[in-house]
Amino acid sequence: MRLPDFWTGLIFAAIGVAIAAYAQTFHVPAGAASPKLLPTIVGSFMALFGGLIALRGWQETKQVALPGWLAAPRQVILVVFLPAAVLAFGLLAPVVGSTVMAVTILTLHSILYGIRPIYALLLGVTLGTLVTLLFIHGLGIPLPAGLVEELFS
Amino acid sequence: MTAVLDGLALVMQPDVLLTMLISAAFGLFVGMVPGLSATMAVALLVPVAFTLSPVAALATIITCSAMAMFAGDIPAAFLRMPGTPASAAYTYDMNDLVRAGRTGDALGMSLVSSALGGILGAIILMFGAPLLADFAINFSSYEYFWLALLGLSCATLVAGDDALKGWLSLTIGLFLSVVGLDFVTGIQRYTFGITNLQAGVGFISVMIGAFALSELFRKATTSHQAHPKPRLDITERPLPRLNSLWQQRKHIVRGGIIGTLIGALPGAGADIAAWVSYAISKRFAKQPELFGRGSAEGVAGAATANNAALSGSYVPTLVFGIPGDSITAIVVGVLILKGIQPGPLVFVNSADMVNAIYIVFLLANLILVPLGILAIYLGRTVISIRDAILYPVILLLCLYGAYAVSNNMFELWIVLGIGILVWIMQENNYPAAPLILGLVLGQVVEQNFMSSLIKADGNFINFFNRPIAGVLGILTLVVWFYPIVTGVVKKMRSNEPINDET
Repeated sequence: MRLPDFWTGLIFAAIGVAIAAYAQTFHVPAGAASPKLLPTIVGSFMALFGGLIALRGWQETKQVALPGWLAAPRQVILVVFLPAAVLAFGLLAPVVGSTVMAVTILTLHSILYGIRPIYALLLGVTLGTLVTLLFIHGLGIPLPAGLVEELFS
Repeated sequence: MTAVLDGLALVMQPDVLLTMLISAAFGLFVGMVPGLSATMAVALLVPVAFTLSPVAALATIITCSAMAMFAGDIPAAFLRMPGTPASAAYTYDMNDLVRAGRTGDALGMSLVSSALGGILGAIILMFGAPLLADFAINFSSYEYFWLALLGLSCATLVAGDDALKGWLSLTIGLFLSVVGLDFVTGIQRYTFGITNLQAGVGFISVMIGAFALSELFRKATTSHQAHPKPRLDITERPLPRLNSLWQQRKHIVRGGIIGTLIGALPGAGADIAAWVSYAISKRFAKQPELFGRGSAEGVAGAATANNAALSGSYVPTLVFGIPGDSITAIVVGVLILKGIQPGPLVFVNSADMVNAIYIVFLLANLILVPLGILAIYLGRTVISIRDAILYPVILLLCLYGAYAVSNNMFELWIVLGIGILVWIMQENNYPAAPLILGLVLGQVVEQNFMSSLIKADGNFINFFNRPIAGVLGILTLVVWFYPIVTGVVKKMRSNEPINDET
């Protein structure tokens, strides 16, 4: 999403100020090395650069260019699907297992990209199971287990 | 000699050779798909590399990146679309040569030149890095502080066309590097009571978010565009004829040297090396008029340079622990995660591993030729793979890769947060590379800054007291202030005629 430099600069400047201000709450022990020194410098520079970007783009404050994909429902769903898939995997995989989540995510994602549901399901089951088995048995990574993983263990 | 043999023994392990072969196939595959970069290939491989031995992990990264670099030329030849940014300089030449039925002079030339460039770069790395390490062995925290700061400064200068946004991106990376427990005092910074943040923001998760998930977001917004289909056929032998190769010898040697030197500069990666070498090859070419319209000379010079740059970027990485580009930033992260601190002492303490790296470079570039020929034939099929298959699998690799970092779902939230942040940043022309360098170098900068400050008892003059530290400090200040001073001078000069008229 293309936003005017004025607003992105202003947002980063505000974050920079917040970082520097929060650093002032750190407890400083006696001695030269203060844990708040670098965060203060980093926050200040972020505020400075953000401010300069905002200043440079102050004449374009109202030139908000809405991206073309917002008018295409399938692309909006594809964009929304990504964080939804990450959240769903993070919250549900420990409950239902990695394979079920992998198959579901692969199938839905493929359908959204335009594959017919039956082929998407076939693809989801094959690749979802293969990649999960590769991580668990090939690389020894203990992915969250569910019913399917218990069958193979 | 013993260290070389020890290094050879480390490489000639079945697990190392097997991972090299698998990562080669993966690198060739990712490099062939337009839009997926060598950095993304490496970012997706890091969680896997993390489970391997240090040598196998490094072999995985080196092989994968070398293969991806060459494989980027395949869509350039068939689709007129570079697979990776490093192939952009000579894309039109590649495509026009293949159209003319000269596959050997296009893909074959690029394949052999890439392998020769990688080998030449590795030889320069083998002889140059230890010499530099001998020089750097007496460096103290002052010199390392300035070096890391100089690396950060140079990186932002070449990060994109908007230096100010590059600097801002760098501060975001530096901020991420200070999250967690302070290494001197043990005080929690920006953890907000979240236990998982005490060890800091996971570097691998940031890499996956910045280079893989953000790319999926970008792809989702452009998915309506038709997937290109290769229409060209391979009608000739895939390798160049020996006399054709011999004619390009000067371009290859020059490209190798230029690529290695540019690769060794912090922030200047393979794509810049390819462009510079392409321009210089044109200057010395017998037929400069063919450049951009099917020049084998341009392909030879630039394809050599981008693979040589890959080897060159390991010079500052190994000698100083300062990454030359995003891929070597990952290497520094992996080395540290594996308990190996890059720097001049690595040549003494882990000489066998350093030699193993040289051998891996030579081996990776040697196997590039046979695997590359295979990739040329399979390329037409691979670049026809539908987005509907490719991108869901990449999403799954992102999820599993992030989880594999610490077997903790928390890493997924970091991937998601960074993925969205970098996607929005890139949509608004903020580069992502300085953020990664800031995250990796932030800790080096702070640790050396704090150590120096304690040694100097708070007196900043001591940062310039040692000769090399003084030179590096002044150099850093010049890099900082040169653009400002030249900008002001330019503005004053452009105002002069107006003043005269008034």
